[in-house]
Amino acid sequence: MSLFSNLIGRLHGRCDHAMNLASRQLDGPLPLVSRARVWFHLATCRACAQATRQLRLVRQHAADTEPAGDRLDESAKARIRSKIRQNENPD
Amino acid sequence: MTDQPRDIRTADHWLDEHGDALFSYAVRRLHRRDAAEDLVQDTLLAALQSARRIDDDRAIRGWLMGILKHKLIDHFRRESVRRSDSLSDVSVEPFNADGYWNRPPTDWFDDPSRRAQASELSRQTRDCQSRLPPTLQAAYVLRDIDQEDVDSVCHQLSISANHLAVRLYRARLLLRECIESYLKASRP
Repeated sequence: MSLFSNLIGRLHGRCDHAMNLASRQLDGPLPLVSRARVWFHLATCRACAQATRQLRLVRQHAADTEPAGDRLDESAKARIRSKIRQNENPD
Repeated sequence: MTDQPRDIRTADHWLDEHGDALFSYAVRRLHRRDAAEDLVQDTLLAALQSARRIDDDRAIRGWLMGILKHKLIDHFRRESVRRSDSLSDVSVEPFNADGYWNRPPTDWFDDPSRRAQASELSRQTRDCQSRLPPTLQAAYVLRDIDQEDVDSVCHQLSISANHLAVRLYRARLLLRECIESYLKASRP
C-alpha cells in the first residue's frame, strides 16, 4: 500500500468509530482532532453520512413529538385512589 | 369536607389537579399506559410519605414531577433486571468485525411515496424507543426527549460522561436500525 493510500485509510478510519463520534457530537463539541476525523469520514463515506442524517432526524422527532391528550381516565383515577387509601389504611 | 384523613384528601386533590400532567409525562416516555399509571400512583404515595410539605400550589407540580422522574429512573432500573424482550435481542449488529457496515443504511425517503410516510416516523420512533433496553432507554429519554444537559443526566443515572456517551450511541443506533427495519418491511 502506498504512503498516500495508507494515509487516506488512516484518516478515513472505521465506520463504527466515526458513528460513535458523530453521536457524541450531538451532545457537545468534540476536540479538534476528533472533529476533523468525523468531518473527513462523513465527507468520504456515503453510508455514515446517511446514517448521521438519520440519527439527527430521529432525535428531532423524539424531541418534537408530544402525543396529544394523554389523560388518566376515571377508572384509572379510581384505581389510584383505591391504592392510596389501602396504603394509608392498611387494616 | 368529609371526615377522610387530610393526606387522602390531599392525594385526591393532587390527582385531580396534576394527575393528567404526570400521566402524560410518563406515557410519553414509557409508551405504556399501565406502567405510566403505576408511576403516577407511586409518585403520589411517595409525595404523601415525604417529610417535605409544599403548600404553594404553583410549586407542587414541579415537586411532583421531580418525584416522578426519580420513579421513572427506578422503573428503568427494575426493568433492566427483568426484561428480555428488548431490541438488543432482535436487532442485527450494525457493524462487522472490521468496523464497517454490515448493511449500509438505505435512503428512508428515496421517492415521493416515502416522503408521505415521514409522519409515520414519529410513531415508529416512539414504538422503537419503548423497545430499547431499559438502561439505554433511561439515557435516551433524559437526553434526547427531555433534552437535559449531559451533566444532569450523568448525575441522575450515576454514570460518567463517557459511559453516557456509549449508552446514547448504542440507543441511537438501535433506534435507527429499528426504524429502518420497519420502513423496509412496509415497502411495497
